[in-house]
Amino acid sequence: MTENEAIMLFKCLSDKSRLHLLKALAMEDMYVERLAERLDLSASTVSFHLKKLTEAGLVTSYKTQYYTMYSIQTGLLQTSILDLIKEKPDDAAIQEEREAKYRKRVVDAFFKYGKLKSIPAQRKKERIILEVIVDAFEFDRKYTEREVNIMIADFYDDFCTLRRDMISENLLERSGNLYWRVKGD
Amino acid sequence: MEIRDFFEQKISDCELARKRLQEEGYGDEADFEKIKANVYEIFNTVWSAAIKQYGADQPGAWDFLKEKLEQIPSSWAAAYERAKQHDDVKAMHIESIKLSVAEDIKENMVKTEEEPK
Repeated sequence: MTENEAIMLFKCLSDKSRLHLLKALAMEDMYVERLAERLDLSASTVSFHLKKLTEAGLVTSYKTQYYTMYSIQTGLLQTSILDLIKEKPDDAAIQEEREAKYRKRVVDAFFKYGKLKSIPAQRKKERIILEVIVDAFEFDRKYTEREVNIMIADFYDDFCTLRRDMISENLLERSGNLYWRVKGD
Repeated sequence: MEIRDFFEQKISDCELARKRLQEEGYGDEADFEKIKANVYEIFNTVWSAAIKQYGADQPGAWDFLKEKLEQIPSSWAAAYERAKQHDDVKAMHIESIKLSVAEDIKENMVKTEEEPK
């Protein structure tokens, strides 16, 4: 279930009339007029709520000779709330795209012809420029501090600050005089 | 009951019902009461415009209100039909609420006109 579907489900359940409809349908399948009579609602109001319940996947309908019958969909109701929370957001791709655009804007703003113009004041932006610089480092290779300084200096003169920040951002690891690139998740 | 009092009473009733329904967890029904109140508000405003133009208790004011009671709901009736064609039950319900309020106002107008002055 997507995040939006989960929100729709919770909204759908947060109405007493709809809960009453579900309770009634949990007993037996029913048609609109019967539900209206039982719950003392107008047929139009019942149809309104049934539409919402159907859209949320809580109710389904089928036609008989005379009536459209409604029945409860127990499958969705057996889903635990924890399962719903753990679902990956449906808009992850949109979010990723948004992140990529933001990242490009930051890179374009702070780099010119491959050189860093200044160190961003915002941590989030600095993280992005550090990730760009760390790409110059190979995985599974140890670098001396001098090598690290030279490589960073290709991007920016203040290599000491950037080197320290790369360590604190967990992009590089250090042991003694040796540095290596940290593998991401 | 004067038509102005009728509108104000209905608006007040809807607001009370809306609050009660909201508190009791009937969120959508509370919204329906708000829709009803809005329709009474519309025709209360129409009535204000009518008496401003024609004067209170003048036939012209009543005719103006009657004309608007045909004209305005006709677009709701059309919207209801469009919704019905598309099997849009939710829109149908909302338009039917608006139309039922317009009917209620018409019925009250008849009563008011029949009342001895």
